[in-house]
Amino acid sequence: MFGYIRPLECELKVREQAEYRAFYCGLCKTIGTRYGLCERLSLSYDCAFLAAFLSALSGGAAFYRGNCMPRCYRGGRPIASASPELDYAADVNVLLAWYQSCDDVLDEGRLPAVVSRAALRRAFHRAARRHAALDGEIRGCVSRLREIEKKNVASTDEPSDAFGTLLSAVIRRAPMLPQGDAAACGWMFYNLGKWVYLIDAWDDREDDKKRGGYNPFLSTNMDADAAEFLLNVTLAEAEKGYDLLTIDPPSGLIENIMRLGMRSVQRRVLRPETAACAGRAQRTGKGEAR
Amino acid sequence: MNPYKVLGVSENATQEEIRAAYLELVKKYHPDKYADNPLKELAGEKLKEINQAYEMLTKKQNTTSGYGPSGARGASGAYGSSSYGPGYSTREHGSPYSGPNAAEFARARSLINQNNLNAARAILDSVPTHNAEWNYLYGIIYLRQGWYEKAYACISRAYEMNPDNADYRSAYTYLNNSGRPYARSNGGAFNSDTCCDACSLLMCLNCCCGGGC
Repeated sequence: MFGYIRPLECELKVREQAEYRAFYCGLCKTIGTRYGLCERLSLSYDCAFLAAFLSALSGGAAFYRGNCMPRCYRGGRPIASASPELDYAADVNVLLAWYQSCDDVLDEGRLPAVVSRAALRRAFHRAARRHAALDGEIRGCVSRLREIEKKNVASTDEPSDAFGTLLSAVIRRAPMLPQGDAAACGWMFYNLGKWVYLIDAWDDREDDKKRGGYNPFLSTNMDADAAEFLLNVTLAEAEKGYDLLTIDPPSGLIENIMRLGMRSVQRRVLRPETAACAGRAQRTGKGEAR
Repeated sequence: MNPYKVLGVSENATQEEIRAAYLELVKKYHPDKYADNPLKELAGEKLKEINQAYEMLTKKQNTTSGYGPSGARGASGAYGSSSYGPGYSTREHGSPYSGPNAAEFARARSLINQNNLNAARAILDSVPTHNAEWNYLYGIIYLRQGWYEKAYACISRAYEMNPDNADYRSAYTYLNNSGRPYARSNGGAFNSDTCCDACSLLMCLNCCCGGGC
């Protein structure tokens, strides 16, 4: 995906930051054991959030002290232990990375995109076999999105609806999701998907203008204020879904992402000149998150 | 049900703490917030649970505090005089619509409340009068569906056509407030500008006052 769902690190407690990194490392390792070394490069912040969120819903995760082989100089640090939540997040990560790279190939057709898609092919087939129903739903949403792009639909609602439906499928298909939370989670992730799609579209506006690609903000000719309005409403709705969940014990990390992290990312994308946060979230560029 | 857990307070919390937690939760699950949301029922259930828990705790500590069980809800008077029962809403409601196609609109409204959006849309599509009520109902459908660009267009149109209707006005105001949160604390507080301004202002004052006076 796009790496927009992440915490505002300067507001995290040290313990929560360690927890977040533990999920990030744990997810990377899980992708490594389930798929392979190359596939680890597709790791995204959004799926780290998915892993942390699913773990928080099912009562928290276990951690162990471990090392990261490529970055062993950093010494031991907590890493999330293997769990069904991490496995699911890893599978989703591979599926989304695959469809993302397909999209890149169709859009740009340049060599890096082709190479990364080829590298993901084997892993994708394995993930799709594991979650055939989810893969079918994602495929449906992606082709609907393609259709909308082809028709150059002048609406922000339609394309973001397709992506929101995709993300809500991801959470509803999670095998460990408590039944009572399905409706609230579905609404929360639907709106998260919408928000991710729109913020990415806003971020890519200049590029799309140059390339002549489809962008809902260009086709509707929307200004920053109107875009911010829509994004705020979408986030507020995602929070309404989140508010109805029972996360026990409460997770400060998820709370930070939902209330501060995404709002800070949104400010940075919409108004880069005013959002000057001293945190890491500010300095890390978008490319790193992919 | 453990009322302490529901309210998220410790078992030896004081009356004030319990009340503060209760008010916080009421705000979180307020019927106004979920009025046009597909999760309305879920929020209503949550609120019912919170009210029960609060009642249990205030009843229990009745002897040591001034809050009686009947006064428990009245105690939320800090927000105004309304009580927060599950069926209550402080949002104003307009008088029932009585124009052309009143029967269809009433049916569409109840279908929307049951979250049967497609059936409601089918009824609205068959109605030839596209007046304020039509736009409002369509706006609510879009809102529940998550299509906020269209929802805002429809609800604004309804409000402009008939600004006196309480339903249209409150939906319009609510949407505007959620899209333009004027007082978001945190997160945005990292603008170093304000801090620098204060510092440089003090420095200037220092120079002026120190040198001049």
